Amino acid sequence: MQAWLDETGHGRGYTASTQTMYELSQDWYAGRMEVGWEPPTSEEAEAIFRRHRLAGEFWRLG
Amino acid sequence: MTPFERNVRARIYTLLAGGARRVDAAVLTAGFGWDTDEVTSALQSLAEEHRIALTEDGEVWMAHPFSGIPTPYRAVIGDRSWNANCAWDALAILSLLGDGEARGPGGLVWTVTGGTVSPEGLIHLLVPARLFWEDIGFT
Repeated sequence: MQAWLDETGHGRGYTASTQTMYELSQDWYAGRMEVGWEPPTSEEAEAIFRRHRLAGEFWRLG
Repeated sequence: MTPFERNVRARIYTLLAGGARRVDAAVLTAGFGWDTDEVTSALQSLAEEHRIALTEDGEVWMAHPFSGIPTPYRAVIGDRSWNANCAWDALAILSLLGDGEARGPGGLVWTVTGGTVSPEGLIHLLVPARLFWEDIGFT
């Protein structure tokens, strides 16, 4: 990954485990396929992120 | 979203989860009796609201976590597979549809069994959450 960052000149973003991202998906995409699905507000989304220990500036929406 | 837009959005997901390889106004309209122009308008509204992303010719490009176009990332369950937008989305498709494999470029394979991803791995996200939709294709 560092080689890709060096090659592209991008700064490092956020690194999370695959397990964390899978578990986040279970919350984040819950109900997504239903007609009545409502997108989360920024506050609700940040709460979802925090439940999976994803916090800080990278995960801030508001 | 209007009630019609909600129905269109849900139909997109039903089609992609069912393995459709292309979703556009014509595919959405087929067998449903919907007006193609109304569906096209609904697709535009959904894209403007960041509920989906469209290609330049109006095809559904993204209905997260599904990709409407082939990508290097796939979710595989048995003999069925789905296009994903990225590694996270490949795992997310499995979270919606069941245990299987998330596959990516370079022979990347993560197996999900009973809620556990193996082998352990890392996903790097370059774009901060508040900028995800600034350029969703780049994200």
